[in-house]
Amino acid sequence: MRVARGARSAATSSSGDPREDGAAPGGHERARRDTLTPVPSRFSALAYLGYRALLAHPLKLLKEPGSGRERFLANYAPEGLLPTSEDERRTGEEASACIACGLCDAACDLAGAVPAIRALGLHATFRLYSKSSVELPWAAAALDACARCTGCEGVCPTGVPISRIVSSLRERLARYPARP
Amino acid sequence: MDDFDVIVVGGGVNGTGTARDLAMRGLSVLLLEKADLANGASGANSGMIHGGIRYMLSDRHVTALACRDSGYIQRIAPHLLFRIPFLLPFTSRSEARTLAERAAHYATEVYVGTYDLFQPLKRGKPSARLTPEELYQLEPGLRPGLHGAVTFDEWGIDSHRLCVLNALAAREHGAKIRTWTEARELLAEGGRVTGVRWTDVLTGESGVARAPVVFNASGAWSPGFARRNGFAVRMRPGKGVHLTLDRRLSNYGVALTAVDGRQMFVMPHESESIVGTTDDDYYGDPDDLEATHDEVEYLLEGAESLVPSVRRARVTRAWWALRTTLWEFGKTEDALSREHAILDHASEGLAGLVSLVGGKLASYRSQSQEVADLVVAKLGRPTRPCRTHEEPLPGGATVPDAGALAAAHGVGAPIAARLVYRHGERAAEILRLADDDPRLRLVLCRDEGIIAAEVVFCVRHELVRRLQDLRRRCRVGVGACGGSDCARAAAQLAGRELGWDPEQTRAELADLLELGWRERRAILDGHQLAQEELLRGVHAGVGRP
Amino acid sequence: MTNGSDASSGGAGPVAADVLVVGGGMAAVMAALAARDAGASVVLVRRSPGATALSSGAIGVAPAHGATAADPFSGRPGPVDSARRIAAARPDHPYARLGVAVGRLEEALPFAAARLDLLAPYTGRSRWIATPYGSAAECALCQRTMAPGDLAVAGPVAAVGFRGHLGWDARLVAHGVARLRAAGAPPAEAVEIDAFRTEAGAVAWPHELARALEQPGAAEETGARLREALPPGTEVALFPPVLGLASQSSVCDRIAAAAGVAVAETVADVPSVPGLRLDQALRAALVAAGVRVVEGSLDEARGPSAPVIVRGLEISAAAWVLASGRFIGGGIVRRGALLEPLLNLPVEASEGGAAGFHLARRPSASLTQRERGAPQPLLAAGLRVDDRLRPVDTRGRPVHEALFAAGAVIGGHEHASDGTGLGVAMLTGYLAGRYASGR
Repeated sequence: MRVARGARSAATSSSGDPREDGAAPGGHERARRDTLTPVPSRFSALAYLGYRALLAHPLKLLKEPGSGRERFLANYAPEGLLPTSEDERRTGEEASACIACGLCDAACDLAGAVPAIRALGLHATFRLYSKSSVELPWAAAALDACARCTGCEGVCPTGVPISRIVSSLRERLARYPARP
Repeated sequence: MDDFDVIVVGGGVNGTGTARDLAMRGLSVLLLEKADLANGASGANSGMIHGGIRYMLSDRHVTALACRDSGYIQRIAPHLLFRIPFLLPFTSRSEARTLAERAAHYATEVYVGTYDLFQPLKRGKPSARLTPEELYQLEPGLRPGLHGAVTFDEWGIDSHRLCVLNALAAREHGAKIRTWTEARELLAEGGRVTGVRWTDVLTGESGVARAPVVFNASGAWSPGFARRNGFAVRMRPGKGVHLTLDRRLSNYGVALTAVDGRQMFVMPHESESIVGTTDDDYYGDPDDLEATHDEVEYLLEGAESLVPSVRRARVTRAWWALRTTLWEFGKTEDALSREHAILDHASEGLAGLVSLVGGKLASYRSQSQEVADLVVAKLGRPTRPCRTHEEPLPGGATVPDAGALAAAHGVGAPIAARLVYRHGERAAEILRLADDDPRLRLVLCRDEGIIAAEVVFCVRHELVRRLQDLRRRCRVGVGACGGSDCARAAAQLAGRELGWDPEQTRAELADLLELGWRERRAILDGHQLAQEELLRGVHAGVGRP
Repeated sequence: MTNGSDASSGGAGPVAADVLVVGGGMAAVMAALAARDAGASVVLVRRSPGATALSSGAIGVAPAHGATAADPFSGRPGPVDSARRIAAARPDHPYARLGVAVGRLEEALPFAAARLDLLAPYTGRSRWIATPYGSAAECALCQRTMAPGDLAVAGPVAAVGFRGHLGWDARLVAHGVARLRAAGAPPAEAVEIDAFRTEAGAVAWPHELARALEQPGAAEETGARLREALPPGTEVALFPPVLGLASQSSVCDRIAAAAGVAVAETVADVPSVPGLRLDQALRAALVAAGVRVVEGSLDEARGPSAPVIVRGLEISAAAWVLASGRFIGGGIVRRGALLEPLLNLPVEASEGGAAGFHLARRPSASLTQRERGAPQPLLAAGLRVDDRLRPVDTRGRPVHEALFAAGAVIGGHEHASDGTGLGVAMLTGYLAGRYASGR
């Protein structure tokens, strides 16, 4: 009944492509195949890992520049994938109390903002803008629209510290790399 | 309906992916889905196009295949993917590591380091080894007492939209896609399948479609479909539950161990966090699933073992699906292979019928290609070659700059960014709708960043038949507020587009709210309970006579 | 909003009052007004607007149980009768806990209507006000701007949408009204008039629309457009609930005068302009009655036996009314288990129809039912009170002789499933204020 299992189904291929080890059509990445393919059994897989542990990996470490953290941040910081400080996490927890009721929107027109930002309203600050620091740079214009009048304090039924969160997001934004 | 080369049963990622492949090869295809696209495991999974690092030792070819295909998915739908760096912290039972633990940690480091060889296939970043100090600098939210970590790189995706885009691509290549249409009965004659009797579950209309080949990709519904039609599909459906937190706890995922030793994770996904996942054999009705308190606690307990702040976070939903794992006796759920199998039912008197069981989201494209190859062989007719790894999915040819779009069309940048993420270059088309009719600038949801134009576009162009379909097109009613803002307006918009009478509009709205409620029942706590009080008050008018 | 009437007078000495009310919504304000009316001195501590500001803007006391869309409005029982029926059928409902005092709705309703000048007078019967969902909400009291739209008495109706305002669908409303013909609702049609536009283009937010309509000449212009668009024979034009943001707003009357028909609003969902107006009216009523309002939150307290400090102000009062709301207001919270955070009073939940304090620790899934529209015990959790509205301990005895509770902090009712939300707040607030003042 079973004609094919997993990726070992080259026999059924009509494209004539010898798809050893699930290689993709058209022979892309052929150069890579040497490093990836010759692992027919668990024994040789383990032997391969042993080789990596004793030889390849220590050599690889020697060749890598900088500390692990530096390499990690070099990989991710330019994409906005920055660490989340305890302070930022606390701000997030406070913003989580927002139930999107809109009472703060009625209390604050974001009068200084362009219509596109006003259409999003103040409560987007606690929901849309602050949920992901990677997307925070998109909210720069919206956060700029706040006049820091603190007139919104005391309008939130669930106790979101509105103006504090706005300032905290602004501070975070100032430390950010350019837009994603 | 009439005659086709192939009928595909099931609108998950394998069904839509195969339909796309076959249609692109020039075959005539009908796809039947008894609910909406991505309604099962194809939508409710971890939302990752991962390289299958966990299979690197046992099923190394699966890893290679997955990484390569991850690269292809980036090529065909670049807008739909986002990077997720993972931390794999080193834990020990006592304050000082034993020699065995040191060895295990080194082995992990080597293992993940070996995964680096696969990373270039999927534009992944190489791993890094972190000392304890470095680990806490990068992720201060972790519990104290860890011995450093190793990092690896994966991709996240909106898997609902991946299915939808495959279906749309199939349709663009001539396939006929029918959602909310159930394949009720398989038709056969002289040991061969000849077609399917279908029923539209919304209108009650039914009919017969004929084709020499039928591909059963109905996932968790496969065993039942098979039983009713005199063949067998054996699988071990495993129930998988995830939790969504209202925001990103961190930009980095954390791989961790559950109380029973299973691998788990807390990870950023879009602008939320996801905690996953459970894996338990499931013997019930696939249409009657819900997350239980015990599953929610299992996940929170596991997550807080390394990320204590999970307990203070706002859980907004618990959601579920059935993995369609291959059947084996005597293994625990976690030890079951994640490989896929293609079953040919000729020996059961149903030549021309093929089923797919198992498999991974990340490898959907190559799984689909495999099935398509088999279908083509069965049809015995020359076709065009597979191009699913080259031709972009709808909207995927280029990724427009969200900032420029926002400026050009006068919408908020966060709105444009979400549109680009979900729709790629079609974001511009959506914004043109809003240019033509300024009313469609209305922000329906200030939580998720959804504007009326997106809803209208999805309803017009993305195979939407019910309001709940919009959950899977553009996240209507899915965010933390559960639809208090958007649900009624979305219902009105969809109703106008689809010609619903007000009665039906209200019924669709009630249905949408019902689905959200079922995802929250087991998690209502803290702020989410206040949200529920508001949501119920807001929509009290739905249920009144 | 400024720092209320008092908290800003920093450095002021301790405040002593007869009654301290905790909360800022309907229940709290009714308690303060009722106690004041009885001659007591009252301090009200209010953190922010509460769920009242998010309400539909009308006050449902008790819907007629089991009525269908076809039962004539005129034959249905009035709100007080309906409340008595609920009391008889549901022993855990606050109306039942009150015993015979539920009949004092007859006092409380006119009292509320008199003190909150945006409310239309109480008539002794229910009004049916259209909702944006195309259904009708049964109300014992409603805002003056809603009253002409009472479907039980209104003549032919036109649901009037603003073209460009997608948030309110005239067709849906008109169809909903027409569906209630058998019950006695008038015939209804839908029309659209040009949207109110600001320099920014189409206005989307209800509160923005409401403000735009308050601009000089805007209501008159809307009325003139309405006159042109109205189908012949229309007696009432039913608008989205955006006719002015101020509780004293005259937008409704000005449109009516310009159009030559009666003008009414539907009730609202969130964001709710009528809710904001109601909140404003509550605050105005407090000031008018001479209630001392302290804006701030009460984070730690031991009840009437000890003074509390709010924003540096020490307050002591012989009697307390706890009207801190449910989950939105924070009067009840769930952190793994249901609790009352201020005084740590025991919270009651129910399961399978039986209520108990021990159920407060049950998982949320156990306290909910699968069908969304069904009564959901988790959402109805709260304090249990005796017939004098005093919260009781696990043995059923009042926690304190002079501690009273009012509104949503009391369990056993949920507006979304039983339609008794603001009615309970109003009645229990009124009675708690009377009891706390010693009357």
